Amino acid sequence: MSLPPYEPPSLVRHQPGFMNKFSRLQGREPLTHLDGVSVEALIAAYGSPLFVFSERTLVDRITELRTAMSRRWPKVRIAWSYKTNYLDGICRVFHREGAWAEVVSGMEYEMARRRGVPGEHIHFNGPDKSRAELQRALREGAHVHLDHFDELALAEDIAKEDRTTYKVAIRLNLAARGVPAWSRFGFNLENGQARDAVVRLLQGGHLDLSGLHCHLGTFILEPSAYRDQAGKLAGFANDIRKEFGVTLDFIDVGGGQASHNTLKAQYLPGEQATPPFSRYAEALAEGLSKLDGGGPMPTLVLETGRALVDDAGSLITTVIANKRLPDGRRGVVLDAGVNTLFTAFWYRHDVLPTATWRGIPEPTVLYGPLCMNIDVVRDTLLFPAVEPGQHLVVRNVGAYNVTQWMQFITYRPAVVLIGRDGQHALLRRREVLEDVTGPEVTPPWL
Amino acid sequence: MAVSLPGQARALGEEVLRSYAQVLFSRSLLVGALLVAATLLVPSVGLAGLLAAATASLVARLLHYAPAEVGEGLYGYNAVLVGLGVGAAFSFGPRQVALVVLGALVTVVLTAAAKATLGARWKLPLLTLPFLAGLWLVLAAGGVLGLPRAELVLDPVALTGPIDIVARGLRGLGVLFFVPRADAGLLVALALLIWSRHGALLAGLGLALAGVISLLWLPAAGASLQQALALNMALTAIALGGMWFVPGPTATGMATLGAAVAGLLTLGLAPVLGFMDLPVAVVPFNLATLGVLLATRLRLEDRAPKAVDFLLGTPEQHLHYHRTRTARFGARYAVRLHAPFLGAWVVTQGEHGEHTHQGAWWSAADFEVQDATGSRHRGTGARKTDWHCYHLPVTAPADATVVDVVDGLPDNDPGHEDLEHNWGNLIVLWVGPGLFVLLGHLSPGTLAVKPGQVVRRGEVLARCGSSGRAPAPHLHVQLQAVGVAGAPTLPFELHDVVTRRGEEERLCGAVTPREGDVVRNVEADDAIAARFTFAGGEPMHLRLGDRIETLRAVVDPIGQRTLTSEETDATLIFTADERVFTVIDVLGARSSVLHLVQLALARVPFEVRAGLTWTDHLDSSEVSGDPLGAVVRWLGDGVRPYLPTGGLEMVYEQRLEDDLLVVEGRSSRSDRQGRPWLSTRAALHPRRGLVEVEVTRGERVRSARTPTAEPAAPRSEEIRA
Repeated sequence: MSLPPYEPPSLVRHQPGFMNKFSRLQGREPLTHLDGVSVEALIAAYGSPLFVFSERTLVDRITELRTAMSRRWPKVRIAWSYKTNYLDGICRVFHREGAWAEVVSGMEYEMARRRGVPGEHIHFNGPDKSRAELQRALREGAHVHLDHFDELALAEDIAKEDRTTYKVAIRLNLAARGVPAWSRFGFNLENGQARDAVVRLLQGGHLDLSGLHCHLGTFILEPSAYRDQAGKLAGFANDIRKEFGVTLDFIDVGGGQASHNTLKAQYLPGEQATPPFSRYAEALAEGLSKLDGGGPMPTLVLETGRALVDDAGSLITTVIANKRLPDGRRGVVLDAGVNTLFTAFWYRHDVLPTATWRGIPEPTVLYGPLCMNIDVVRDTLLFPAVEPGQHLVVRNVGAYNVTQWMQFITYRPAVVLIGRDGQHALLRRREVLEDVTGPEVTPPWL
Repeated sequence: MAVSLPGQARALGEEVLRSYAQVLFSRSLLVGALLVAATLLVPSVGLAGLLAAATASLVARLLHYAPAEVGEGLYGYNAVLVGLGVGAAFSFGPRQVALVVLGALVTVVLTAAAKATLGARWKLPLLTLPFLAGLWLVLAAGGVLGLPRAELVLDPVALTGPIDIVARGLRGLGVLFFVPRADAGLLVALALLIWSRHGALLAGLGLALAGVISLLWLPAAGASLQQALALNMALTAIALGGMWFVPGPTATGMATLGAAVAGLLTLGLAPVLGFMDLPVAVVPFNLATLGVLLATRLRLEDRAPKAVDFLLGTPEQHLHYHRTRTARFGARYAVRLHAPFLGAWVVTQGEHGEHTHQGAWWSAADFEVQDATGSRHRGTGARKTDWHCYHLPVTAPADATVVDVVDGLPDNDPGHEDLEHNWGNLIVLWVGPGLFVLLGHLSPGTLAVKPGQVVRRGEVLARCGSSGRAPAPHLHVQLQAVGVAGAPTLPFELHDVVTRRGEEERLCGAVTPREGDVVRNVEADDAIAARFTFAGGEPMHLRLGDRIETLRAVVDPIGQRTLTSEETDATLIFTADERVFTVIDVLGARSSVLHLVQLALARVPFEVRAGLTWTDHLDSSEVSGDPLGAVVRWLGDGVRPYLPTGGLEMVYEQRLEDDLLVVEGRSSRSDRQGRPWLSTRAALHPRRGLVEVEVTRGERVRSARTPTAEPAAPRSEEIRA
């Protein structure tokens, strides 16, 4: 029988600001495999750094969301929020699982159409839609959410030109307890602007109102905010039904549900603080139950992004060097920085070593490879000693990173999908010089 | 309304032919023509029949009877027989012609009177009762007027030996049309065969029985008695074995019994009627058939044989309808019951369950909710709120009226039960005649309905709880024949629900869920449902071969939804509720593309989900194969009622391809090359409706597309250029 290696006893000074003096890694195992595939094998096959997505988690998350909602509301539609992650492979998984597309620009609209998503299965949001983009979307039967009066006039003009009536939805903003109001999008409910928009839309005679949309905000940890929101939307739907006889096809409550990440301002880690989808669903159904009965109920539309994809993504990175900072903390330089991991600005990401660690975790800062002072992947955390060449895994990085990442100083890494049977393949290859310089044109005099 | 004279003449001609065909329960013009030909073998008889048919048609029109019924020959067929009777009884002359016209007129009136009483009041078929009354009237009147008797109709050539036995049967058929000749009987037999092979087989059975009786017991009886025996037994066998009961072994048994009764009646009535100098004619057939129909009304269960409770057609159609209905809808009940909850629930106790579904309450289902790990609660489940199903909405499974509500009983903590109030808080719904649904163990204070309230399918009625005999929160559902809470249960069944048994998710037209099954309603998608408005009623053009057919979705005045073909008389009847599109049937021209639509879109849920499949049963005769096979199948109709169902099981699935919703089906049966015996494909565009339908049977592909959707293939001239 072999004994564990001897470690001498040590005294550790309590550090203010940490949940405990043994770090978040206490009692945790090194993360050697992702969905059964060894991290080392992935790095050997695709290089470092590397984004890895789990198809199993993608399917589990959307299934959990759909089942939670569909047990509480008769008609539920999930519209996958493209801006969160519009990699083709990721979108295909969600569309295969029955999700529609929620796009916020002409580019995203084209992406969805290119994948074969029919116009009828697209919700088109956002404050910037050009005349041509708007016209195409209306003609293809997409669900256009109008953001402002100028857009309303534009849509009306297109309907006049096409000599038809188009169905559109309007976006609202409203106050819900516990979240700051996002008043820059859509028409305000409380000050009567939303009602004005409905009156204007119906009196124009060229547009029909098919739905209401409101997006509360982002990373909302308190489900009761959705009860407020859905209740207000239901009340407004009742009003316009009574006043104008309009029965809505759908009520779109947007997205904003939290993933299992931890915001920088958050005390409890995401694993504990993030509510399950069923609690959001309960709150939404309770709010929507204020809708007057009699007649078909509107479809509940969810534009969930982050909560579906964030947990499915991991970033594997390699330690380049260790250094000691003047204040005594340890600094670790990684090969992936904020150019790759944009969300490092928002979250205290969960980082795990891939090899067994020993010794006492000590205050450590994780830096990226950029020659820029801002390039901090993770501010001070208690972390064990790691050696150059060793791999770390940053968890829950599926949302926004592969859309907001920057082509800056280094090439953007490859992205891999692990299938449900443990097979894996590239979703996007690592960039090469031609990808960076390709669009450039040299003026003739240089 | 301007109607062209040739059009009128044509309509009259068709009515006349259908009046003849109706004698054999047929609507076919060909059958009518063969029967006219049979009667014209003796011109004096045949012409009298034609005169009577034309007279009846005109009289029925003048009396403003329903044009559709007149057109079907329903007012004419009794008159035709009376006319033929006069033609056979009295020799030609002005008074005979007058008697034919008068007889036809009286018979039409008698037919209408019988329809108003027997038909409307007692729901019995008229059969040939008006003919009997009319015949006896004209025969008596002719005798009083002293009309000269016609010569007896005899075979032109004397038949002897074994062939005479067959000829006797044929004469028996001929005598129905007052031409007791073997050659006329042969034409009648041919008409019978064209109308229905099974009908012909049943007629043969009746004739054979009559032949045995004649040979064994009545060797010395007169020809007229033997012919009457054969005719009545054959007609009764057809009527009971194929027309009023769904063909099959038990229906044939009923036919045999009925034929025996008709035979007895013939032997018993002939001397009585003979005493009054009246022919026995088809009195035994009428009495035997009506007697059996009335007698079967006292049965507790309408099965073996099953009465024909739908539109009367041919025996083949009856069998097809019945088998299709059983295979496709399988439902015991006329009301479609959806799952009374939202989302996917798991059955934790099914029929004959180990806990409580026993005795008079053997058929019921308990539902709970399980998470991805298979657990039905969070943590230890010690609190009722830990259970996933607790306080989830319970909905109406169909449009219904609330008949009983119990509220106010507390929810039990897990592990405890209230044995005094078995079903706890409950709602009883009346969903249709003789069908009630009980929803039990509801949470107190959540019941949102009152007795007498009308609810729509899917409306939230209450929330799931653990009141009554429920040691853990669950929803108990049972069906009852009466509206008293806790009455004995009827067999449990849900319709058009998606059931997951093991890994497979399948839409089921009707299912009795078993323990462990995960059940949910179709989660309908508005954008998919919108495709089944078929371009909102705008015309859809489809090119099949070199022909373009125009289809249009129509809602008729009684709310029946159809796709109609403008170029042919074909109509596809369908239903589309909030969750599923279902083709009921296609009537009319076999060449219409609608027959392909029926195969390709037999049933479609408004939900596109990878891995969701469903099965349907098609009539394989819709798919014509090689000509020899077609003839064999045609003849095979005769014995098909005795064979296992020949339907074709199809498995369907659907997906979105860009704008198109593509529904693909393949038969479970494969051909020798291992390909599906039949495969189908249909594509629906959100705004243009149906744009493609394709049916592949072996090498033969029948494909129809919207002309504009066709890829612009270069013409051969262009290729040469």
